[in-house]
Amino acid sequence: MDELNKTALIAVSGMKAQSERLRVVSENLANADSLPTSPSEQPYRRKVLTFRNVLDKQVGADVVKIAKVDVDRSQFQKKYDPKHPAADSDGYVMTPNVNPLIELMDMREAQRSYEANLNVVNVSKTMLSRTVDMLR
Amino acid sequence: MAINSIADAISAYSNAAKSLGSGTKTEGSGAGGDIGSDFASLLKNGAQSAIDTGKKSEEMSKQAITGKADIPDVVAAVSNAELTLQTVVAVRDKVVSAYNDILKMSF
Repeated sequence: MDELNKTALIAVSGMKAQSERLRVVSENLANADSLPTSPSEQPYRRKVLTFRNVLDKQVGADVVKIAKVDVDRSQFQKKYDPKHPAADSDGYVMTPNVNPLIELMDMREAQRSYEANLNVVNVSKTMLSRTVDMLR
Repeated sequence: MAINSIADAISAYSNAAKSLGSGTKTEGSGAGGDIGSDFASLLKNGAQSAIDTGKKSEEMSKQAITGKADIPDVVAAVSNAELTLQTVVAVRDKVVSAYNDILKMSF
């Protein structure tokens, strides 16, 4: 396989990884207000994902894959809302450990990283087709 | 000698066709192997690899329509097929023009 073709395939793996990351971010953001329905239940727990480099035999280089989508084990926040069905005896409701600001920053990072990989695909494609154009 | 450099050019084309055909199984395997092998097998090899990548890209597009493939994969496969076809067409044009040039020669 052509080196420039390989380049494009590696960058495509990065794009796929970043889109998976964006999916997790959107999950977190959408569930930022998913509260429990009873005092014994827990609210939505934030998800985090980790990347891993995997040797792709077909490409012959390290591509990026999703290692695992894990949960953020940090503490839940508490909100005083005695009328809520999930409020405990003191009137507090547990809320998800999602910080929308962090999620938005993560989203930006995923977007920029995706664009960077997209540019790599574009450049490798341009280099290849310009080389082929030399035959004309 | 002009004939010698033409033979060199032909072998360069056949090498190009071989690298085009590598990774995909072509029916006329070994056709592009010998130096100075004929135009027909060279073109056949190139066309076969273009057809193979084209089929791959169509397969990917089909999977994308049914929601089974990721868009980046489809884009990569389709642009790869496009580029392979471009290469084959460019090589073919070059070879045919070289062939025509030889035909026009008066010995």
